Amino acid sequence: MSSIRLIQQLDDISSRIEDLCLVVLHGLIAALVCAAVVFRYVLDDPLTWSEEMIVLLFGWMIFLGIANAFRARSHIIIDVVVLFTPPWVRRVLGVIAAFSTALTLAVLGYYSTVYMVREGPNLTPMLGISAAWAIAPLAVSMMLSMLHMLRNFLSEGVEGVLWSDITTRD
Amino acid sequence: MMLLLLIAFAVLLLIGAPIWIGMAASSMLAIVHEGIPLTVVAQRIVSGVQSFPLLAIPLFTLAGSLMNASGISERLFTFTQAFVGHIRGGPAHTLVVGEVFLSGISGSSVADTAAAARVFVPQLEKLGYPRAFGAALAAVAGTLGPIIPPSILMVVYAWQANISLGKLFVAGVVPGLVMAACLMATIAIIARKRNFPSAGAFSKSRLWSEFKRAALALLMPVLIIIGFRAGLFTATEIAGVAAAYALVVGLLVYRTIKVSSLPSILIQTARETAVILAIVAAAAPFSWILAVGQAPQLATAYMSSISTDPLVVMLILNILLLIAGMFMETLGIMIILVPILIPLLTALHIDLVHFGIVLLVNLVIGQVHPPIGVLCFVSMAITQVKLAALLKEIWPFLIALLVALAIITYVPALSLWLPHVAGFS
Repeated sequence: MSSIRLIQQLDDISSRIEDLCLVVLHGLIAALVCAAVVFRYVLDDPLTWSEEMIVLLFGWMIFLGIANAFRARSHIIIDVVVLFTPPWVRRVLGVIAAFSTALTLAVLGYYSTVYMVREGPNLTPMLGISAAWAIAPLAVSMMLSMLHMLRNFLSEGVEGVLWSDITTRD
Repeated sequence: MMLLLLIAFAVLLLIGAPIWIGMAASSMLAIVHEGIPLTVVAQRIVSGVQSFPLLAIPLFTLAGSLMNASGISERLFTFTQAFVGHIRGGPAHTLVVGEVFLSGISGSSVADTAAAARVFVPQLEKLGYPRAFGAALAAVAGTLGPIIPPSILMVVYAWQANISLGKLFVAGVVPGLVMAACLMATIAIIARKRNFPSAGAFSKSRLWSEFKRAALALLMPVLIIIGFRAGLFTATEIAGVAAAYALVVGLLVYRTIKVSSLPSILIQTARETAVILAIVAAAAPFSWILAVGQAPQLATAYMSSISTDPLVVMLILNILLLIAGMFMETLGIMIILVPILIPLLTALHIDLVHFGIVLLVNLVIGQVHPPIGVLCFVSMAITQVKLAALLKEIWPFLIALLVALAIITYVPALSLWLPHVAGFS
């Protein structure tokens, strides 16, 4: 199997897992927020752990969503310069934008892992679990985002790494 | 450090990197330059989104998406057509009034514009209105979305300025109606000049039956305001209840949402939220560097050297925000400027709730004027209208929105009266 095919398959699998996680996380968050209201006001028995749990799930949802948005090329960009440049300039800008984004993701991924390992022994106040659970989504998200960028590059070329068809159309 | 931060950020924006990457990368460069460990950036980004109040964003977005998926935009537009369709230019008025109601549900200007362009522009065209006119109107009417509660931008601003979200939501109602009134006055003038038709005769029975069809959707903003006013729930809890309400209405009452369509709605909402909160997260280290570099103090000192009269300062800020809105995305401007401006506004005793509304009106006007004009592009993409044709039709409405901005800026009571009457301190 060629390495290109392998990357595409890896990206497809991770995308499916990402989608499933987003559905579960978003559904759980909404359900927990409503449950917290019912327990506090109806049953008069507040869920003391719910807020910490919800914020933890929210972090995972956001950072996985960030990776997901790289796959869908839906991150917000200012495309006013890109739109009005000739194709060859656009390609050069595309290379620089993709390279600087990948570099930022790699550096953030590395330092979030360092931070996660450092905070690992600390426990969260209510749930009593490792604080690394709250930092891990950033590291995971950076890795997945780079995988999606690579997939976009292989499928769409350099202009399709970050930019949607609306930005890149002539 | 600050100069490096701003130059790197500007360069990354111009070459088309995502805004949040521009913020994160420039923050990292500035931090390396100062010899501070880069784990600080990771730490700030993670803590930037670990906030319970920000959870209101995905939940309000989910409520809006569920309502839209249940076909509520169509119900609202037919109700408003029965309400104002009979007057001259009635179909165009219907679009604006429909957007007022739709804004009370979705909170996203892009979603509102897309709904209006999809549902209403073809109907306008059938009645003899030029398609470009409908496309322009759908774009400008979309600006009401972030002003009339609930509003995602208001959630972010209230979090940044540390003010009551409930009070800000209520404060947006009258300014939203002022904007709608200015747009409708413009429609009335154009309709008379170009002899635009109405959409048939008025019928009380039709109005009543359409009201009944749309009543459950119209109830949602009322429930949200009551929830805030009662003071029992947090903003996030109210958003959660709104999402549950929308789910029950769509799934069990209207029966227009299928369980099988829920995963795609949840993924879409999670992605939309992530795109917004990526900027909020990356803004945490970015704003920290600006604060360390004393940017708020510098801005306050500079502005105070020009004038300390709140009226003059508001005029200058309006001009700055309108210019910024021409080149930068709405949320990005808010995220960068609000922390810098808060000390200045506090020093000049400018009400943060009133400023919040003025800020949002400025930013939404930026969404309909070139070169960014995101709502124009949304409307153009759906209606297949060319930019030149749309711009030709949009300028009277832009003037109307600028008039509304001036009124909202210099009559603070329009923003502050309703929260006061509703009992917000």
